[in-house]
Amino acid sequence: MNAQVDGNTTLTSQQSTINYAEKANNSQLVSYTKGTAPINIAMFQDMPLGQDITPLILTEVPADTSIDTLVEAQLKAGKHLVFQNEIFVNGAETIVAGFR
Amino acid sequence: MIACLSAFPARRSSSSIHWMKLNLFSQGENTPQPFPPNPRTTPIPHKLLYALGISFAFLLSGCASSTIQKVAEPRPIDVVGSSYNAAQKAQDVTNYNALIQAGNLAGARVVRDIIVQSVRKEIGVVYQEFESGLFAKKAAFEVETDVFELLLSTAVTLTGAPQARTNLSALLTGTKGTRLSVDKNVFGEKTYGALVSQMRASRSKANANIFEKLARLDVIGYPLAEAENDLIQLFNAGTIHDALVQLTTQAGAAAEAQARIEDQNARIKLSPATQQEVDQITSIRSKFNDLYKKQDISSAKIILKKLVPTVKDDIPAADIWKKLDTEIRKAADPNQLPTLINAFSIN
Repeated sequence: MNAQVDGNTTLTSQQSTINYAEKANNSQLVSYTKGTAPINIAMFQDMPLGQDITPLILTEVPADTSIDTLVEAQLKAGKHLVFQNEIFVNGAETIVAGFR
Repeated sequence: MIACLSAFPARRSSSSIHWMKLNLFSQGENTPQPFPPNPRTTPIPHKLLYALGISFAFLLSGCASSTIQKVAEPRPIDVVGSSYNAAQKAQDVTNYNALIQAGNLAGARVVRDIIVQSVRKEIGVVYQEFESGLFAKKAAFEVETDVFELLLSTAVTLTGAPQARTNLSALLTGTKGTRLSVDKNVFGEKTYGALVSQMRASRSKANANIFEKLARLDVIGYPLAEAENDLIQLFNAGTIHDALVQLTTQAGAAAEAQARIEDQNARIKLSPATQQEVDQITSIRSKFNDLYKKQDISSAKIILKKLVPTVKDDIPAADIWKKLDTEIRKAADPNQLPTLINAFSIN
């Protein structure tokens, strides 16, 4: 399933929106990219019935920060990188990483 | 590849259609040119059509067949029984040029219109004869099977439009079953209909273009040379090659349009959700997962009956899980959440 997410909202709001959609639709985000401004496009994959879905965490990747640093930090918390892309956050293009 | 290329001139020289065009549209020539034509003076549009068809065949088949069969297309216009022939046209062209030289643009426009309308009429007569023969004399209508089939294969692959797929698939099926000999199935009802419909539509468009220019433009805005180009387009619009190219092009465009529609339909706009709503739907999904893992069908059925009172008591176990999952999915719109919270007894 492909779905649009409002890119004019905050990153926290987008995270809640995606986590809600995952639970409601029993699916898991596999890709998140910017679409036609200010829309972001989320691609979900259906999951088998009964399978628990770990919450998704969205984190902004600052320009002066290496993604490796973020990945290392999240790995210590047991979270793995799902995607790293430029998306719209508060209407502006922002590099964001997703962990689960 | 060399062998492939060597087959090309053989096909071109066997086509009588070039002769017709040179004869009809060469200004200032009073006598028909000898047959066969000089390939270097062949009108460009037709060259492109052949090149496209041959390129498809060679590129896609790897030159699987070196036998190029002749495509019987509308006969030359300068035939017995025609009311307007090349000699008459040459005389009219001479008059047209003389009037232009004399600065009599109004007179030249009249002659231009006479030439164009006369040629257009002859093309129409030949086309009608061709269209009738296409259906009535299938056996005499030879088709270069590789080009025919490959063009259609491409079209069928590209197309996403149900109607186009139906027609083109019918065409392709007929061709595949009769690679070595064209039998009646190739020109079955749907094949005939698809090709003729396309040729009629293309001719109508080309005719309208000519009418509009004749009515609106003088010989400066629409000189005879340009009118002749439009007449060539009109003639080509009534050929099998052009119809196949048009069908292929339209099939590709239809596929792209269909993909865009599907893409748009697939992109549901997610409703914003609060953290509280995320926690609630998470609790609901977790409870469902627990019941599913335990295969607690009786508890699941009780919840389902709260959500769907009409559900039957003897509903199969597999259906219970599917229906309950479907009910949870309805909460993709958070407005449906309270109903689920109540049914799943979530605090």
